[in-house]
This record gives sequence, C-alpha cells and structure tokens, in this order.
Amino acid sequence: MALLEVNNLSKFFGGLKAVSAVSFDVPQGNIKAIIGPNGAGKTTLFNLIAGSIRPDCGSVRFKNSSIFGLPPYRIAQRGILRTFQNIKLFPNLSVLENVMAGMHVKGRAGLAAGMLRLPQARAEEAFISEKAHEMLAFFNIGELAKRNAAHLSFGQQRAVEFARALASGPALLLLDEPAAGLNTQETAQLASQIAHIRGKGVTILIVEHDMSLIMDISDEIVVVSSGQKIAEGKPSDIQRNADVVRVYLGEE
Amino acid sequence: MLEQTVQYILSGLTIGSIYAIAAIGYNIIYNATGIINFAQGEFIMVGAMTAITLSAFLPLPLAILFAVIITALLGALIEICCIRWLDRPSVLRMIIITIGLSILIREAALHIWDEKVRSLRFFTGNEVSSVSVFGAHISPQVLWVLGICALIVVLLNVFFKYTLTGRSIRACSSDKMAASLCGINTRNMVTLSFMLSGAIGALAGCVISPITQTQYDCGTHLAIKGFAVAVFGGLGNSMAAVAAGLIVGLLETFSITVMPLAYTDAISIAILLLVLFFRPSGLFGNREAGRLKEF
Amino acid sequence: MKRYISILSLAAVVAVIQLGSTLCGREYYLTQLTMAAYYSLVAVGLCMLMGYAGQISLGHAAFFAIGGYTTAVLTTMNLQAHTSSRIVSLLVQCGLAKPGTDLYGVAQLSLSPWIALGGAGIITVVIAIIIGIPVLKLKGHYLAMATLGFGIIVYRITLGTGLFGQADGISGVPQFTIVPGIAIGGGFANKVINYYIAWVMVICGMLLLLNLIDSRVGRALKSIHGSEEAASAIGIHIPRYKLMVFIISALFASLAGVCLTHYNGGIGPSEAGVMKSVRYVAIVAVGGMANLWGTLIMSVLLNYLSLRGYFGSYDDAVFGAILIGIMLFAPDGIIKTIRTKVEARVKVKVRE
Repeated sequence: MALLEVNNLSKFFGGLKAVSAVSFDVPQGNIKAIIGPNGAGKTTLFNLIAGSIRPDCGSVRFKNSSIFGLPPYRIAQRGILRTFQNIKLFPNLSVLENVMAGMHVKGRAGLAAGMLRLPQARAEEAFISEKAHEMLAFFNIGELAKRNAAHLSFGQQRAVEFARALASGPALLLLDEPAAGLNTQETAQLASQIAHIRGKGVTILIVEHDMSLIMDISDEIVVVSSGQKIAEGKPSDIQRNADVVRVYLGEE
Repeated sequence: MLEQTVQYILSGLTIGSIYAIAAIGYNIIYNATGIINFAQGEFIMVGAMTAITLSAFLPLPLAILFAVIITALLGALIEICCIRWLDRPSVLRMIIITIGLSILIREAALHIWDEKVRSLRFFTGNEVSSVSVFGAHISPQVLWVLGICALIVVLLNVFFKYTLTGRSIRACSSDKMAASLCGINTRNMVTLSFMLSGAIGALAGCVISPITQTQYDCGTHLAIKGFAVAVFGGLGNSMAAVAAGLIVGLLETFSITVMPLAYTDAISIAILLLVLFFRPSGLFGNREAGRLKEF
Repeated sequence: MKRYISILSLAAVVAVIQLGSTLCGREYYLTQLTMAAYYSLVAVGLCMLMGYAGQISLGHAAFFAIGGYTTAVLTTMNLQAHTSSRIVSLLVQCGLAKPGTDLYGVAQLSLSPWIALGGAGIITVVIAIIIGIPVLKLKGHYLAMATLGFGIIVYRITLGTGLFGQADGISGVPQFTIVPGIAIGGGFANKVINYYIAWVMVICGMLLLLNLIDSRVGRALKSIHGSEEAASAIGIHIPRYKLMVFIISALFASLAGVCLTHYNGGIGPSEAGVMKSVRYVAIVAVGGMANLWGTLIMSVLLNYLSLRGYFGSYDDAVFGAILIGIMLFAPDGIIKTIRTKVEARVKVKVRE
C-alpha cells in the first residue's frame, strides 16, 4: 500500500479547472516527481496536498487516513513537511532555532512548563537541541548554528530549510521547485542532497520543471498539463512518451 | 415628527459627509502607497485651525484657500521627511511613524492654539440663521457642508479619471513598477497624493468647523471614524466610502435617540470592529479582492 | 545561565538604588520608580506580543484599565446593605470581606482585594479571548485599527459609565494587604516596601518571559513573526499561539493595573486613553521590539522622566517624537543601533 494516495483530486478557480481529477500514488521510500510546463497546475496540485489551498473534490490519503481539506498545520502534524520554492526561513531566529522550531510537533512542553522551566520542559529542550545539532551536522552546516538565518548564502539557506523540514522526522517530504534559480553546478549539488535525504528513508514528492534533475533522481514521474495528468511512469518511459514530448516541445 | 426626522437625517448626512471626506483622504494615500496615514484626522484639524487664525485678518474665502494650501504643504512635508526615503518599510514601521506624526501635529497644535475650542465663522448668516427644509430648521452651513463635500467627490472623480496627473497617480497605485517604466515619477505622485489628501482634509475641516467646532485634539476621533468608514466601504474604494460615510453618520445620529451621548463614539467603532471581523473587504468590496489585500 | 546573571544584576541594581536613595534622604524618588515598575510590567508584556510574536496592539492601556477598574469597583463597593445575603455572609466567614468604616464613619463592608485580583484576572482573560479571537485574524493596519478601536471603546465606557466614576474615576481604593505588614498602597510609610513589591513583580515577570522566549512556545511565537506560512508548514497552529500570547500580555497589563490602582488609591479614565496605549508601543519600539531588556530599561527611564515631570507640557510630544525618530533612524531600537555603531567604530580603530 502506498504512503500517499491521491484520487481524482480537483480544484476550480471560478470556472477555471486548475487541477482536474488527478490521481497517483507515492509508494513508501520512493522519490516521485510531478512535472509539467509552466501553468500546468503542478504548483496548485502541490499546494492542494500541502493544505495551503483547499481542494474541491477527490481524496488525499496519507498512511491510509484522509488528509483531504486539512489545514497545513494539521498536515504537518501528520508527518508531511514541505519546503518553499523561494525558501521561507524565520529571519528573526538563529539557524539552530530554525531547526529546533521545525521540531515543534515533536515537543509537548506548554506555556506554563516553558515559563517556569519545569524539569520536563528542560529535558525536552535539551533533547530537541541535540537533535537539531545532529540535523545540522547531517547537512554539513553545523558551524552555522549560531548564525542568524537572514544572513546566509542561498545554498546555506536551502540546507537550513531542509534541516528544518526533516528535523521532526517526517514520513513524506514535499519539495516545491527546489531547483528554481540554480545553475547546473548547484543543481548537481541539490541532487546529491536529495539523494542524501532519501538515504534516511524519507519518501519524497517533488514538483519541478528542471527535466534533467528529475530524470536523474526520481523513481517515478507524473506529468501534468492543463491541470490533467497526461502520463505516469519511470523516467525512461516518460522520455519516450509521445504525449509528453508533444506537451513540452509543442505539436509538429 | 417628520420635522425631527428630517433634522436627524440632515445632521447625520452632515457629519457622515465629513467622515466620508476623511475616508477618501485615507484612500488616496492608501492607493498610492499602501500606507494608512494615521495623521489623516490631524489634517482636518490643522486645516480648520489655520483658517480660523487667518480669518482674523483675511476674508473668509482667502483664509480657507490659504489653509488648504498650507495643509497640503504640510502633507508634502510629511511625505518628504518621513516616507520618501525609506526603503520598503514594514507596515508596522509605517503605522508607528504616522501615529507619531499625528501625536506631534496634535501637540504642536496644542502649543500654537492652546486648548480652547474655536470655530470658523459661518459661511452665510450666523449661528441663529436657518433655512427651512421640509419644515425642519437647519443652519445654512449644513447645505455648505453637503455641497462642498459633494463637489470634492465630483472633482476628485474628474481629476482621477480625466487628467494626466490623476491618471498617473492611479497608474502608480495599480503597478508602481510599470508606472515608472512609463516615465511617471512615482515618488512625486506619492507626494502629490499626500498633498491632495491634506488639501481635501483641510477643506472638510473648514466647512465643518462652524457646526462642530474645532479643538487641538479633534483629529483623533475623526481619524478613527474616517478609517471605520474607509474599511466599511472597502479600503481604497472612494465612491463606496461616500455611501459608507453617510450610513455611519446616520446611524450615529439616530443612536443618540436610544443611548447616552457618551457612547455614540463607540457606535462607529463597533461598526468598524464588526466589519473587520466579518467582512474585512468592506460592505461593497469584493470578497476575493479583500483577501488578496493582506499586507 | 546568562539570564540568571542578568536577573541577579537587575535585583542588585534595584537594591542599590533603594539603599542609595534612603541614605541620601531622597526616598521620594522611589514613588516614581515604583510606578515606573508597574508601567514596565505592561511594557514587557506588550513586548512579548509585539516584538516577539509580531502582533501590534494599540489598545493595551485598555487591559491595564480593565484590571484597575475591576479592583477599584470591587474593593470600594459597600456590601453593608447585603449582609443578609448568603454569599456575602459566606465571604465574611471566609475572611474575604472585611467590615470597616469609611472617611465619614459610615459602616462599610468591602471585598478583599484578593477577590478583586481574581476577578480582574478572570475578566481580563475573558475579554482577551472575546477580542483576541476575531482581532488576531487581522494583519497590518487592520489589526492596528481594530486594537485601537477596542482601546477607544474601553476608554469611552470608563468615561461614560456611572459605575466607573465617569471623568473623575474611582478614588478611595483601599490598600492591598498581601501578608500582614506588607501592603500595596498606604502612604509614605510604606514607600520602601512598595518599591520592593513592585520590583519583585517586575523581576518575576521578566524571568517568566525570558524563560518563555527560549521555550518551545516562545519559538513558535517567534516563528509566527518570521513567516506565518512557514510556521504553519511546520505544524504550528497559529491562532492558538497568537491568542496565548495575547492573553499573557493582557494579564501582565491587567496585573499592573490592579497593583497601581491600589498603590495610588484610585484610577481615572486617562489610564485607558489612546495616548497611554501609544506610549507603551513607543517604549517597546525604543527598546528594540524583540528585546525584553531594552524594553524594560527604556520603560523605566522614560516613565521615570515622564512621571517626574521632566518633559513638562511636552510629555506626549516627547513620546510622539521618540516614535518617529526611532522608526525613521533606528528601527532596531536605540540600544542595538548604538551598539552596532560603537562596534563598527571599534573595529575601525583596531584596524588602524
């Protein structure tokens, strides 16, 4: 049984069908990609799964329970974490605190426990801080821990965002166009980072329009165009698929 | 009975049209900059106070004219000193700056004009002269208020629709980048919108002063009510502000019949809160558009 | 660890100032410092809401007034006429209502300030929830205006309601006996004691808030300020946390209102005024927004100067000028801006 099952998911903006009856599965441990030309509805599809846009109809099931129409914070609590296309860190927090904030759902300490620094809260804090350091070390940015998150290079910011998203140990990671604005070399670095994350056993769903990155790293690809799924399969199959070629290169 | 109702309606419309002008003042600046100018109420006060001072040795029309010009210059000064050179300031920063300005202007007014309640003389006749409308006796000043406010609204519409400058300001508010690419000096347009906002505020202050009188701190409550009206109509929508202003003015006037005078101020604020809670896009605003305007 | 050192130094400074002023025979300074301490309690609470969680409130004086007026009304109410009622006699039996006489020798049965304190707390929380749930959905100008509107409504109610003494406010509020011998209020003799009561409260408040900042909840609040979208994407339920911090800061303001009302023996509508709310905002802004220590230092300084009348008739104007000056030239607060300037100069010197 797949980790994430999307069935007939649809979203209309007024009369416009942004996403129409899209279905696919994301099996445990896979890297699945959604690709499509600009304006194909892939970002909308992504936001429907992440909860930032409410779907109109269809179903989304995660670990065999429905997450259809849940707000983003509930979806995160279920174990689906996301990154943003134009990286959204907390600029008012240090790098370490950013990652510690990412473990919010793992903590239990409430208001009173925090204000009084009860032993239970202190123990939890120590645990979270240790985990966060581990997470930073995993992405080789341990030395940035004390730095302010606002003053980092683009690559470092992305690493921090990955660390924050993975800190709570999510089962599924959603990546929103992670290669946007990167050059070839940076894209290669990104690819190795994603492979690294997968090594931790995290399932990944990635929305992207950089074809070369997708062909490299993903196990399976869903192609959307005009809000509809037009193909699904292994990268090698997709490359040979006539419909896909037509969508990307235009009719000939 | 009818006389009294007419009396109430006219006085509601009078005060309502001042709120509407205050709201339009907000809208002009909001459209050009995305800033809510918390010092809008002070423009009204400064306009009236200046006219009162000048009217001691100038004929009334000239006094008003100079008051309007001086207040417009004050608007320009504010924009040039406190807004123009800031690089993409946060909303919080702008709120605090304009609040600070309103306090400074108010305190300056206190030191210039002290605490005394003053009023401009009636445009025609005096306190006791009245005209009869449907049997109700009203001051001719009420007609002046309604007439001038209507004129302001019409002229503003003409200005924004048909003149190059007006169109340029509108272009800036819909897309600053595109406007500057078209060769419009967007910064000057912002200054101009502050001046315009100051000028109409001052004019409104002058016409209402004989009726409601003016004191150094009367700007605050006009500001909050003007904002209530602006939100009620949908922020940025000046024609809706007129309708909203008249409605709020009427509600406030009629509320006097059912509750103590001290609470009437609370009415428009309560309306403001209710609208903010349930329909932040305003009574006439588009729900979707309102949601997009989260800033 | 660092925070305990800071807190201990604060305590030391508080004690040194008291000893110094007593030795120099200038204990009258302590009165303003006591009042400044209570106002600072409001400011640090607002700092948490505004600086750390990023939610502006232009109506915080309202919560101060809610606390102050609640205790003033409850402790000055004469229950003598209701002695036959079962609740009143129960209160008397529990020692929560005390018989006495007023200035004119009329028999008086008044509620214990403890009940008033509890009542103020409950009322504050209830109002904070009722106002907070809808208001905190708003952002930017809308939030500012809505909280301002709330403040004005409370001000108008205090000004227009007979129960609250209208323009005169309420006077004759009894002192608040915490334990026998230690009471908030009560004239010159209690000056030193009151100074310490106020400052112990500030120190405790600071400690609680400093702890909060570095806790899980505090991080959630700061991340809401940083990016609401990212905060909800990591599982933070934003409305819940916003309401939480709103209630906390309202309680700080309300507690300050209760204590200062007992200290002064009364409260007037000006405490609820818009200008008061703006002052608190100004203080947080000067302090550097997300900076509890900066807020505390600036609050004590400005309130002290203002209460001693150094600003004369320019009192409000000073706060207006501070707001503009800070926001134009030093939006990170005065302390941080000076520090960066000094550090930059030191660096240049070192290089030379």
